Amino acid sequence: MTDPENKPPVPATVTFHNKRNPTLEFRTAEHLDPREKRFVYLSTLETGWDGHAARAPDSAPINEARKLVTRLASTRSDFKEPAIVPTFNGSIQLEWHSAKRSLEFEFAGRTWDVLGVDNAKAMNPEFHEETISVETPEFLESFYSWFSKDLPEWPSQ
Amino acid sequence: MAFAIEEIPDSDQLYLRVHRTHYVEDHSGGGKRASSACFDHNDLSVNWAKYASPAQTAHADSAVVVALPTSTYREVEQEVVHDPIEPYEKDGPNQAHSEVRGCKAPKSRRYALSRKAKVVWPPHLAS
Repeated sequence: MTDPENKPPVPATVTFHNKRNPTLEFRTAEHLDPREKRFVYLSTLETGWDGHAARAPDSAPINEARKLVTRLASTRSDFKEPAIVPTFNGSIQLEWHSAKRSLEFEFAGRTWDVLGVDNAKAMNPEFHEETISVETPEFLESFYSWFSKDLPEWPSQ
Repeated sequence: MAFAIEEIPDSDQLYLRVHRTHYVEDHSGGGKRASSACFDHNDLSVNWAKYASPAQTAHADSAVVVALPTSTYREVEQEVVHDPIEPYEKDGPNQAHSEVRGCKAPKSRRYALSRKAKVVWPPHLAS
């Protein structure tokens, strides 16, 4: 049996070998926060991860999702971690759900498809949809404000 | 002998397996829900309740199986088609296999489906 006192230290980083991203280097699992573990996990999914023909997530949506969530986490005191899910076509979706509202960002090339749902009227929810450039993160942040602060007006350009 | 292709009544349930990556936190009640992302297939594979149970629909990597009545899909311009898989075909035999065909955009359409879906497997999570 291994003596835990004599275990070799876990290296802080390892080079990750993956067919699609052969040179990526990651901190080892012990050194990752849950969010980063999720991104690393998503980057390891291969085509057919759903048992059928789902595409592996591409590096662009993973990187853009990481950038956006990191920005929100660092600028928002009311930040809550999103669900980070792969889509069947190789993209990434971020989701937040509260009792009153839902917010989803789905990466679509150089834009995010944004969906806001106001569930105040449970039988007749109100839907809002926008397509927003990745180059306007401050505008993307305004949708998070709408969600987290229950702002009355859906942001518009 | 090939499976007969039948018309699926509006009131019959269709089971959809939800991959564990698509079962997400829902802060509204401290629970979880199926992501709208699991409905994003123009040819969405489901099992017709007439020929399969929720447990038979689940795979090893499924978090839950959700159910929606056929009418819910048809109300949002989806075509529901019985499409049984023969024994000699990949993943066959599966007499329950059906497809929900049609564009799942905009995102609000997928969200609306996910919101109405009821968990039916595993039993301890069934709503």
